[in-house]
Amino acid sequence: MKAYNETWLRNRQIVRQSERWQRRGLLSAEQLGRIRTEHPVGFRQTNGFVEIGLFVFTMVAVSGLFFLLVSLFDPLLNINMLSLATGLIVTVLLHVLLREKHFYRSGIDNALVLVTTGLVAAGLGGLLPDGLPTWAICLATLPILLTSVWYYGDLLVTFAAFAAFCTAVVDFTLELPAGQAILPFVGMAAGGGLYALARHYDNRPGLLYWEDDFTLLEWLALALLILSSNYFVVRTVNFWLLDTRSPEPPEIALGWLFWLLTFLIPAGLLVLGLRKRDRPLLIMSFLGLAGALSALRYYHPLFSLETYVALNGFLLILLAGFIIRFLKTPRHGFTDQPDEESPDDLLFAPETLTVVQSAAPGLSHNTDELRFGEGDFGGGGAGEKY
Amino acid sequence: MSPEWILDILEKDQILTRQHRITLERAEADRPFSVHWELRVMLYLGILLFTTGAGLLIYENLDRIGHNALLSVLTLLCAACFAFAFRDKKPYMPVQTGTKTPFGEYALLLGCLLFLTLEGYAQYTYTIFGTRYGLVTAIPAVLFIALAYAFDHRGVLSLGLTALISWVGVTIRPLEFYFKGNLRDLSVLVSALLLAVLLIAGALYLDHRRIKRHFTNTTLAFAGNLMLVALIAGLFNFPEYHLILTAVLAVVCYGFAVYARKEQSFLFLLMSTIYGYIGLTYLIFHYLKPGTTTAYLYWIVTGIGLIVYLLSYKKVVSK
Repeated sequence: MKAYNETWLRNRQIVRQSERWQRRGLLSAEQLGRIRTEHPVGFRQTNGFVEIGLFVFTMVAVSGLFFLLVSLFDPLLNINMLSLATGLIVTVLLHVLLREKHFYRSGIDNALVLVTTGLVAAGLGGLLPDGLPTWAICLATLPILLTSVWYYGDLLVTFAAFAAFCTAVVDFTLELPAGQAILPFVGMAAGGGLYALARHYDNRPGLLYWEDDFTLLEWLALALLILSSNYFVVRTVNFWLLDTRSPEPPEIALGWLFWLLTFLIPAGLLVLGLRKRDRPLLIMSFLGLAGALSALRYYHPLFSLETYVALNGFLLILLAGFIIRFLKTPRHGFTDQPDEESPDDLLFAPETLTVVQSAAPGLSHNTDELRFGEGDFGGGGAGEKY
Repeated sequence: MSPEWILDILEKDQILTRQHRITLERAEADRPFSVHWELRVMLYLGILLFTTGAGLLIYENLDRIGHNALLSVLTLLCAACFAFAFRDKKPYMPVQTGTKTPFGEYALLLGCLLFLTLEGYAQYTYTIFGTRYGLVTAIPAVLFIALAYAFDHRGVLSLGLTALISWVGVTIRPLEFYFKGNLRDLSVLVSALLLAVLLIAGALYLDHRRIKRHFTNTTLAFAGNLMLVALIAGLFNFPEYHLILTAVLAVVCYGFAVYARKEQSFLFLLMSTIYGYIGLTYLIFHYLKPGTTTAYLYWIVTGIGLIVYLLSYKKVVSK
């Protein structure tokens, strides 16, 4: 028993895959027609922009409802009870809507799932005895979040569950003796472990309901793994945790080991990504290498920051250009031909945004306000070794 | 995503023969992994980092490098980019043409961004435009929009439109969700509105003439955003003009809603709904000053009302 009709979800997947095959000329239109009639999908289809609007206005309406209840019943009930009561009302509403209108991730249900989960978690969290450590509170909310993920498969709640888990792990580790020293290793272990878990389950037909959640978890776990192993991050976090702060972050114990990990982990992930042809691995390892190079430049400045940025830009252009030419004909299982799965317009909007965003100051009237962009990123030459 | 289980089902349904299934399995196993978009993003990032870095380099070392040398290098680079783009250009046609190789459009973009750096630098060092700051943005605006049409490049079109909007005194940085610039100044506000009207009229006219129809939505999105933001800013800043501004806002929102329905472009529906709602809410709270309970009820009722309104837009055809 789950919130959304699983048969429809399976059918949706079947029809989508068949459409791809049909576009590649592997299925006839008549076969596709048969597949569509035999595997009907009853979800209500909306459009991406409409979904955003629906999400926003659902949030508006539900916030109004919550505050109205609070202002009406405040003397009678405490805020925890009110949260639980509102959560209950919203849940009932959500289920009526799902049953009657067959929404699936249409913005409305996303918002309602988020609100319900948040209200129930907050309400139950408020019932916990006072003075509990942070990790205990996070661990107590985790079952609620996970139940919500299990039942609705919502991505934002998955993100929240991941955040709660990380907070609990970090906070608990810091309470241990020598916690600060082992924190990065715990972070790496958690990231690596969660990634392995997600990767193990992300492609099972039986777990189709949570396929997207597992994919999201892969991205998040890789980010955690790469951040915990980056020398700059480790040193900075270490500095925040010190009781007495010197003006400069002090050198960390086992510095050489972290320098090694900073480069080895993204490089290892890149090799793995190339071998497995796995998008999250490829992209995150690339970002990890960029972070490693930036950390290196930060502590051993060979160039000034602006030279570094310009040089990296130049190298990235060369590298991308080289790979594009190299993959003109597919090699090693990689190709530069666009996939039918990534429509043109999907990427066009972010591209335009970034260009306009970065060029806007140069186009403004006041020439005296030159802005400094984010200096702490840069792409590096990812070694294309097979 | 493993299509194995899908093939099982299709074979069981007797939609696929055994032979056909094996063909599909092989096609799936041999399918190369596409890194097309990742590579495009890399190129973009490279271009952005390079131009940002170069701009900062110049800014930092103004007093240390020979101006003429720097200017020459920048000019050369810029010219090289344009030359490369030109070599790659397909002849002009009113329809979407694209370029011969994947690099032409990126060279053009890099050229345009370098041109901006060059221009800023020339103005800073030699004040070639004197105090006519309008020219600093007017020149790239005209140049980029012309280039966009000549080379069929939507990214450059966006740059040109941004420059054009800066020219009337409004700076857009989409990721900061607000407009800098002087919308408290009535003359700026009116010029922004006039420019928006001009752009909308121009976009619709060209669309009607079937010239570069894939540009229409880009131009309309820029112009519509400018229009709606200027109207909302007008409501906030000029209570004495509330009546006329409200009337214009209502007309614009209605117009975009109709356009969205006609063209199935839901971005415009979202824009008109959200800006319209902000305007309406501001007016209601400004004049009626509802109490807290009434305000909460207002949120509930309007929220639900707008959900129903948005849901009434059916997609006419799904792809």
